[in-house]
Amino acid sequence: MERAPADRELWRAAAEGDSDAFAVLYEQYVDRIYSYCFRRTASWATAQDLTSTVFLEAWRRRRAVTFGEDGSVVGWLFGVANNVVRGDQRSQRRHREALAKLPPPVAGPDLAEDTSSRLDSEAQMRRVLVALDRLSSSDREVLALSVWSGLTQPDIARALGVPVGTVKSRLARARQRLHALADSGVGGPGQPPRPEVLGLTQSQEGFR
Amino acid sequence: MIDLNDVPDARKLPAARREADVRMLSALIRSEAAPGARRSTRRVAVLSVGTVAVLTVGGAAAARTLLPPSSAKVQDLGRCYSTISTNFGDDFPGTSISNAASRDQAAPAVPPNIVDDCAAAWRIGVLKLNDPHVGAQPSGDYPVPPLVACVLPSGEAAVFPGPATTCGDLGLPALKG
Repeated sequence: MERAPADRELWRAAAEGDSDAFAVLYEQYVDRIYSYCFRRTASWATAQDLTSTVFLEAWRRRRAVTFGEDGSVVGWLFGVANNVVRGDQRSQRRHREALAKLPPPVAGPDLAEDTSSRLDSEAQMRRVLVALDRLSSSDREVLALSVWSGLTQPDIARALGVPVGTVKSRLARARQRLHALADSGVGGPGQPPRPEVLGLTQSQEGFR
Repeated sequence: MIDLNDVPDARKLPAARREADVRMLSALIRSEAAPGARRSTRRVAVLSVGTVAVLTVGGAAAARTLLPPSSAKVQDLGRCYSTISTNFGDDFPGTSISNAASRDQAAPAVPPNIVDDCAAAWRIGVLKLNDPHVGAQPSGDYPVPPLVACVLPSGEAAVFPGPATTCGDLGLPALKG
């Protein structure tokens, strides 16, 4: 579904001070941003703080961004998320210190009712991230935005601030490197990796 | 095997956190969208905080040093103090704010609007005057005291509630700009 025009209109209203419009955008994307932050950090609690930071940062930058006819709010929002996650990892020690002074993440029913499931999912995610550590950060970012967040290539381009062609080449390069890792035994005992293992489903291989 | 699809399912942000986020963001937007209301609140706050400031640092006023304004050396963090304090350590009364960059701002700058950012924290009730504890308050539009930005010895920008003389009273340079 093409949401871009509606999103741009909501963003324009929000930037002019319409808190209801901002709330609609928040509701529209908060869960995707939350899941993205989790899959980049392997921590649900950290993801909660990062998600709040993403929307605060989006609001703070409201006057610095405009969207033309083909502008993508979701792409830009994930770009903010990407930078927030990147900044968190870059200055992790001081960031943790700052977070400790903020209200703690909510351990609501969604988390408390399945503590073991939460811990399992964090361990599972850590294993994937450790494996992906062998890729460059730009490869990891483009894969995360494509595979884990389902963004289109134009939206990824907007998120990363690069041309669509660069997104295509980075995805191809990431695929080659994952192939190489698989061949070297990291990805399995000599088995050719499946397309989905490379983070490229059929539709994505077609470079939609 | 590196299976990028073998990752935990997406989850919804917990409802309580979602509600807290929306309250916080809505209060922030409303307050920034109504500058007239904000000015009125700030004028009311000037009287009470001015009094507190005199009581707190009045004894140090005679020893005030006037240092030339300085730039912050720390690029991605700033501090919002809830009281005038010479505690420049990690356990200072207040909260840190980070200034993550967005896509078109590659390198996080020293919070360019750190006074505004701290004002927002006051406005939504994260900071309370002379209260070292930081935390969420019920939704509302809280008073913002007069704020002044200084530079700590660590190079971090710090915003204190107090009059323009506060930096000098604390032996700190004012934040340039």
